[in-house]
Amino acid sequence: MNLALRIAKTHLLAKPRQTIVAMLGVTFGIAMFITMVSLMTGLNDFTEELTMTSTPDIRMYNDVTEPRKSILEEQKPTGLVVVHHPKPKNETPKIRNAFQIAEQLRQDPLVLGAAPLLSTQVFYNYGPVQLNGNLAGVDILEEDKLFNLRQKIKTGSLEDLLVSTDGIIMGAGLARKLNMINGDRVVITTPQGYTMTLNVVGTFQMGLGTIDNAKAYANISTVQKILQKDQSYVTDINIKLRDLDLAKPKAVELQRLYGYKAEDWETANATFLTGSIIRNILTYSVSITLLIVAGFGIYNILNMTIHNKMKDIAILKATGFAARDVRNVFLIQSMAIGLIGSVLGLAVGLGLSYLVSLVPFNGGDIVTMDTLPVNFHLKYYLIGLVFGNATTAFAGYLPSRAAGKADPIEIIRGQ
Amino acid sequence: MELLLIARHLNKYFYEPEKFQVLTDINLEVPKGEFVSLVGKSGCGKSTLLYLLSTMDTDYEGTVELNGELLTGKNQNELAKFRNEHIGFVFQFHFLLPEFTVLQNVMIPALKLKKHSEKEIEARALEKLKLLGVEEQAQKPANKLSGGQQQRVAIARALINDPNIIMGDEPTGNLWTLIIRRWFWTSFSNSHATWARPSSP
Ligand SMILES: Nc1ncnc2c1ncn2[C@@H]1O[C@H](COP(=O)(O)OP(=O)(O)O)[C@@H](O)[C@H]1O
Ligand SMILES: [Mg+2]
Repeated sequence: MNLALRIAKTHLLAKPRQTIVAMLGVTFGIAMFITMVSLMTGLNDFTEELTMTSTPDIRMYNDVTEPRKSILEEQKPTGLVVVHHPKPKNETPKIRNAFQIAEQLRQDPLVLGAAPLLSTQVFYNYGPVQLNGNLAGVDILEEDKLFNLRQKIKTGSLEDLLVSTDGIIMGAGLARKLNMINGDRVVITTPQGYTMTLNVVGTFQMGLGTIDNAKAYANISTVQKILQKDQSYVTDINIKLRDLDLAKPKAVELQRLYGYKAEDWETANATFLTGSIIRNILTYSVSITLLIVAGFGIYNILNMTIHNKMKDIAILKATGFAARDVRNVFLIQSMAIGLIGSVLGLAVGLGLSYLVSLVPFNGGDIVTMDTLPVNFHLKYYLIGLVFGNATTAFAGYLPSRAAGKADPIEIIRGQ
Repeated sequence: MELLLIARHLNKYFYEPEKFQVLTDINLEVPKGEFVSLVGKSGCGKSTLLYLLSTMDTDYEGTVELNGELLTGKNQNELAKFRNEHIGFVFQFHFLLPEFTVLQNVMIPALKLKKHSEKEIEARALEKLKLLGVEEQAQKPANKLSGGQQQRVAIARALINDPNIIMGDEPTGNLWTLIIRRWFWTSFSNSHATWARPSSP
């Protein structure tokens, strides 16, 4: 065994309590890092998955509120024209030739699925109470391709909707609020005042309160009937891509191609993504703070050790140890503390995050979860290992170098 | 006679608290195999000179030559290696590494030198301890020994790499005389070591 390593080991074992205290500083820092990062990234993944299940990669719709050229501007393209407070034209948010567009999109090799749908606000009548919500008229099998609906169905089935007349599959939260089970009939009212009775044939649960408490699916023809529109009336096309990361450029392309607004999932879920960025910043800043504190602890303990070992340093140097050898003796000590401390920290962190993953957690009305989502990703354990070792190596380097540079004569004279 | 240690025109200053010359134009020659004592009153600079000669202090004027090698101007790493191989040093206070056993204390300079295998080094260290009459203490922690025993161990450590010269600062009592006599009888013929020993009158 290397001589410096041997001396370092003897020093560490001679003062077990001090060594353990220094080690626990690192262990604590790393364990906290692992626990926090596991929970935070777990939450991030969870919310991302939730939003992905409820948001199409690209949603194409007719945005009637989009600013447009006034007639005056069209007539007089040159010269200064001021139109005060223009409002949207009274036009229906219809996508022309939606079924042909969807068919065209399905031919695109980048596109996995394209589902035309018809969405409207409705009131669900529950006795004298009216609950606000929305109703989506879909081709339920196309929709299933995009959102894996089949897995989200709690009662009933997709086929029940297909074969029913005036059938509806309701969000589980909405069904609970309306106190309804399969086979019950619900009276809905459109904003235009048209009232109709529908049959509940199933319920679904996405896990996201905003959807489960407000949304229901029906066949396209049913919704067209409610809105008193013709058979080609469609308001949206939901598109799923083979590669999620292409959503942004593809949306721009589609918007230019078809002239309808195409919104990618990132834009639609900007608030969720900001949340995950903030969680990441929080995790890393807290962990780095903890590690810096542990680093200071190691710096202090090593300084103290070196101060107590001045005589030894003088002996080693007088008997032929170079500055580098003496420095290594102490650097090895801090690295050993760092290595064992962080490995221990990883183990403790794994244990803690496992415990956290068992904690029952009620997401309430907002999200559906039983326990906190925790991520057990190897990547974070590697980061923790590198983190812990880098901090201790850095904290140990300065005192160790000073020990290497110590002048043996001054130490001997000081006696 | 072959000269082992040659010091020429050594000047040494201290600058704290004010500039002060401790050593003025010291010239010294020590032949091989000689036993040399340096005598002077307290505070005259014996220890200071010994630090220069032992290469631990490099801040001086003049030259120091040992074993035909000019040591003045060498860097710290080279000097450390030279000390390890050629100089045995016994401090005024018998410093041992307290966490290590007596045997390990004696072995460490040899483990550093790596001239012999660890087994050989251990045998040699036991031999040196026997020479100084402390071989029964070999497995004890160094800090569990009496002052006199510690000093003997320190001397055994100074001998472990068969140095060309052994330097000791202010030896106390008659221990040295005894040790020197014994050591001379046993190893003078093959090692040609030289003793430099300053002592107060
Ligand atoms: N680091 C130092 N700074 C200033 N003066 C010193 C220092 N070390 C020793 N001296 C002075 O140098 C002189 C010689 O000291 P030293 O060599 O220890 O004497 P001794 O002959 O007793 O061994 C003394 O006067 C001492 O005060
Ligand atoms: Mg002295």
